[in-house]
Amino acid sequence: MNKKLLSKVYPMWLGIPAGLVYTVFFIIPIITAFFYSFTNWNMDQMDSPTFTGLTNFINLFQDEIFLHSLWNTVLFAFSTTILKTVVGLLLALLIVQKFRGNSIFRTLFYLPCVLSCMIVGLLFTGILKQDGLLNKFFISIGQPNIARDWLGSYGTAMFWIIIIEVWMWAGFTMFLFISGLQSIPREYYESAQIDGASTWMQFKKITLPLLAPSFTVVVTFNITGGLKVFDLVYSLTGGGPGFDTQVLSTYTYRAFGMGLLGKSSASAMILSLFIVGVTFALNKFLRSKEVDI
Amino acid sequence: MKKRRVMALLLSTLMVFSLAACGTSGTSGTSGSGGDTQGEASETKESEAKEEAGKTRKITALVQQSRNFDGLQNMIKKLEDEENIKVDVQVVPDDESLNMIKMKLNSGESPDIIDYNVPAIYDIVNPEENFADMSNEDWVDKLKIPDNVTADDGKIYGFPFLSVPGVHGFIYNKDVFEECNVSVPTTWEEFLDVCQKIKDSGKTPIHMPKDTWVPQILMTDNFAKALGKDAVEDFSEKVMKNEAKWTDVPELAEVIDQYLELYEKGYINTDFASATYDDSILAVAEGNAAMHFNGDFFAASVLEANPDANIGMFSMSMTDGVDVMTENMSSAGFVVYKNSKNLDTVKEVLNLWSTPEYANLYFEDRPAFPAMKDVDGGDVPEYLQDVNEKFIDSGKVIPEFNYSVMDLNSLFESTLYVYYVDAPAKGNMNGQQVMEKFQGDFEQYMKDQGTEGF
Repeated sequence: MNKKLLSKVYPMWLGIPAGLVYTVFFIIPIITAFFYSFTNWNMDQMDSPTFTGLTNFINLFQDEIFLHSLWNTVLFAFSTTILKTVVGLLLALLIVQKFRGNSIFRTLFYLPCVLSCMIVGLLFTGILKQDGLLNKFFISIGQPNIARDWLGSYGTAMFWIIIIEVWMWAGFTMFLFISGLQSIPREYYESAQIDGASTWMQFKKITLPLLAPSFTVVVTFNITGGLKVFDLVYSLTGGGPGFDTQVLSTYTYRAFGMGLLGKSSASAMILSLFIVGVTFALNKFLRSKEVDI
Repeated sequence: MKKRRVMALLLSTLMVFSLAACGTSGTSGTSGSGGDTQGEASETKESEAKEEAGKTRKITALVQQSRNFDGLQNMIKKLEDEENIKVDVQVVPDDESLNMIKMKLNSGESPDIIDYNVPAIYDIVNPEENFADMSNEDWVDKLKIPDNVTADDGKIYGFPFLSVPGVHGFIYNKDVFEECNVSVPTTWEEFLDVCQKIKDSGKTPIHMPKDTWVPQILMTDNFAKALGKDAVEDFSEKVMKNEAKWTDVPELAEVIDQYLELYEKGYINTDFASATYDDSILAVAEGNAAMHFNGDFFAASVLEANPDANIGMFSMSMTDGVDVMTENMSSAGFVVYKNSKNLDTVKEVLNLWSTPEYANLYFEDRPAFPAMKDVDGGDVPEYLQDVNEKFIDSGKVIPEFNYSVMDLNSLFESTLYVYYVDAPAKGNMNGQQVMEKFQGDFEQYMKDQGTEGF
């Protein structure tokens, strides 16, 4: 009896260190942020936050910059997820083929995501500025009309933020898909070929359904990553021009910068709840589409 | 197979380099040491020997990124080499420094010394509660103008570097003026003419970056010039008590309208919404742009970028008949954390820094007017001498507008300053509308802060 109890309790003890770290660095901050999001806590009254109910949340949803940030965050998360998935899948399908230089391309496609976002931001600021590489290229091929201040207006700035994110992370997505592709047994394709199925039919009926678990991972990863985006926007445009490319994380940072700790907690809370909600819903939907091998 | 190995080696080296580059960029600026490896090795040996001889004392400092000058780093290095005192510097972005200072002070985790503008910091943080009283230190006797850093309670809490803090004006490239055949204007009308002529010659009349702290200087300068010192004080007192609104004073909106006019007429570089501050420095240094409005430190940076540049500075008022310059009022300097455990070491450091042996290092690369007697500020450049003669010596300087509302700095940075860039970029707001929008932000901010009367 004692032995049985011990074998039940003992594994739990092993979980304590991890649980402790998780509690201190994750659960406690979330709970305190939740608490402070209902107060008017700010930098000048560090010791005396007063309870203000839902005021912070109401103010946030009345703030057009916040609503615009919310829209940008959703736009960024969904468009980058779709593009990264499509580009990553295409790259993976190419790379799993056997050809010379295959491993070089594999490394090259993966390389951008090991760079720090700040460095990528600086690099592309140099490329996209008025007298940057891109505009110089357009001028050199006799198309000066295309040249413009790429990060100076909302449409082009948002476009480039999305493209750069895809450039950075498509290689990573590719690797997730490659591991998925490699786990599909070759026999399925062989028997499909014997039955006379076309390449497209094989892709549609074998590859796609069996890749569903990879899709779940890729989409969940990218959506959560996309909703949390901060560094790329911060280093490329700083949320500008004006507040045009502001996303939820940079908005929270801005509120924090103004010393409004309660308001920034509320904004961070909304972002967290949003991410959790979207991720759960997506995960549930995608899991239902998965098939067992 | 061999080829593949070579390729793999090559790519991994590339990766390591890119990561290494990233590592250095993260730590650069925190230590002032440079030079060759050999030199560094011998320095390490030296400091090790010293550590054995006597215990190294350590103090901590918080320094704003834009002010982590070579001069300051050399002073810190000299302390370590000669006095065995190590200053552990935390370099922070300028925009964040104020909140970081407040947070560290409030949480009781402040570094021993804090770099900020002195005496401006007295208005933002209660000096008596937070900073050590320095009034009885030896260096106080060496101050050229003690009043500059004396708080309302008659005590001195800050250690300044400069006796004449920055003045604002148009910094211009004289060669470009000559090339375009224009001379320094004296009225706003003339100024617009000059801009037009420079534009017609194919050069950019005024260069503005996207960094929001820059364009706003034209406003903080002209708000003060348009209203005058007394009216500024009166207005700021009322507005902070909710007895006046930002929209009540038409002069403010008019100044913004005049500023917007510069954009409408094409006198500002077209990439103002994405150009960086460094681009502005280069544009004036290389003569692609004629002018830039900023503090006189901008001229020093231009000369650092191009020592051959022929640089001048002039005051310009949007309101005719006002011939004054606005002053930054506060010198770069340090305040000392009241509850510092290393107070004695800190006092020793500041006393050392007030001596010519140390303070001269500060001015080696950036000549200016030192706060302490006997310190050599270097050969002050021609443009600063002119300004000094025409304005500072003859008392024609007034405080910039922002000086009277220092508490609103962080609000300004995240709202009004952004509108100054956004309004010309989108063309959707005039001066009055900018002020109306800001009034809304201001009321919300004061409510969020729990200020009485809002």
